[in-house]
Amino acid sequence: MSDPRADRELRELFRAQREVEASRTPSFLAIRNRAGPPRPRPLHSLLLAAGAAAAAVLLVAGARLWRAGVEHRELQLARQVMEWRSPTDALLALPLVGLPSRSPAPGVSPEGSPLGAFDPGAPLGPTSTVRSPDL
Amino acid sequence: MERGELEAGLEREHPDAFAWALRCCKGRREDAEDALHSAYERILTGRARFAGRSSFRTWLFGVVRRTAQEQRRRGWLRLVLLRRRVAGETSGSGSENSPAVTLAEREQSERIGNALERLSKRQREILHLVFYQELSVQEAALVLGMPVGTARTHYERGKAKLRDLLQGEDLR
Repeated sequence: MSDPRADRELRELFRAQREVEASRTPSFLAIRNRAGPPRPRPLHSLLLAAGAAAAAVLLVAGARLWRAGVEHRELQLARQVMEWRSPTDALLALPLVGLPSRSPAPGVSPEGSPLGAFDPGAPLGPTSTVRSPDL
Repeated sequence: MERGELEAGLEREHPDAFAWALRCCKGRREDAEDALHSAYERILTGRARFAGRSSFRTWLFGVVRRTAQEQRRRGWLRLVLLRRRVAGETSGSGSENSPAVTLAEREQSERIGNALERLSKRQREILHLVFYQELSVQEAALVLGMPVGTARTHYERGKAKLRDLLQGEDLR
């Protein structure tokens, strides 16, 4: 798997890289005494977080206001559509309007009819609820 | 380990630790210097302790690697890259070579550097540790925090790919 000659060549290349980099390496003391990377100070972090929170609140409030405006406009439009009546509606009105919409059926009095409901089980002739006294 | 011993150990390993920090920071010198400074501070203040489970060198490389990783994660908050880019443009690169380095060495260094750029991060790291730092694959696995088998796979594949890249370059 490992070819010693190829490995030696690679080592040679890496050695050259090492030589070049060694000449550019800063001293140990320079690194140790170097000012460290700037750390995020607590106050800065707090301000950053507060700013981000305020921006988020403003964004949400803005979005809600905008959405409310859109909903209001949509509602008005829907109302207008619902209330709209075609001016030619009258032409479509039939003269039969006002007549019973259903055909009469036994036992059911057509709505608005002056006649009573026809009951096929009832005795024929005039009926009286007054009973004759027993003899 | 006493502080004096630690300092002596760090000073002894410093050139190699810097080269490793440079690899961990993708070649950015400023970031490598920051990472190395933070790693030294961490070690000298006792926040990172050498327990003697591996060699001092292997342990140091592990600390440098973790510090560089943490630094990278914090980077976005500090907008450090922007600051550095501006500073770098005004102060120059500071990467002049000393006259002791021959032109051939510089060319070879550039050649291997360009080829390494085309490998995966893991392959690059393990080849650096084995060939440049002369660690064994087992030690490199310790530094990278991975099983030896995985390290060996990255090592073999990386080496084969690197050889192909260098040969391809020769044929051109």
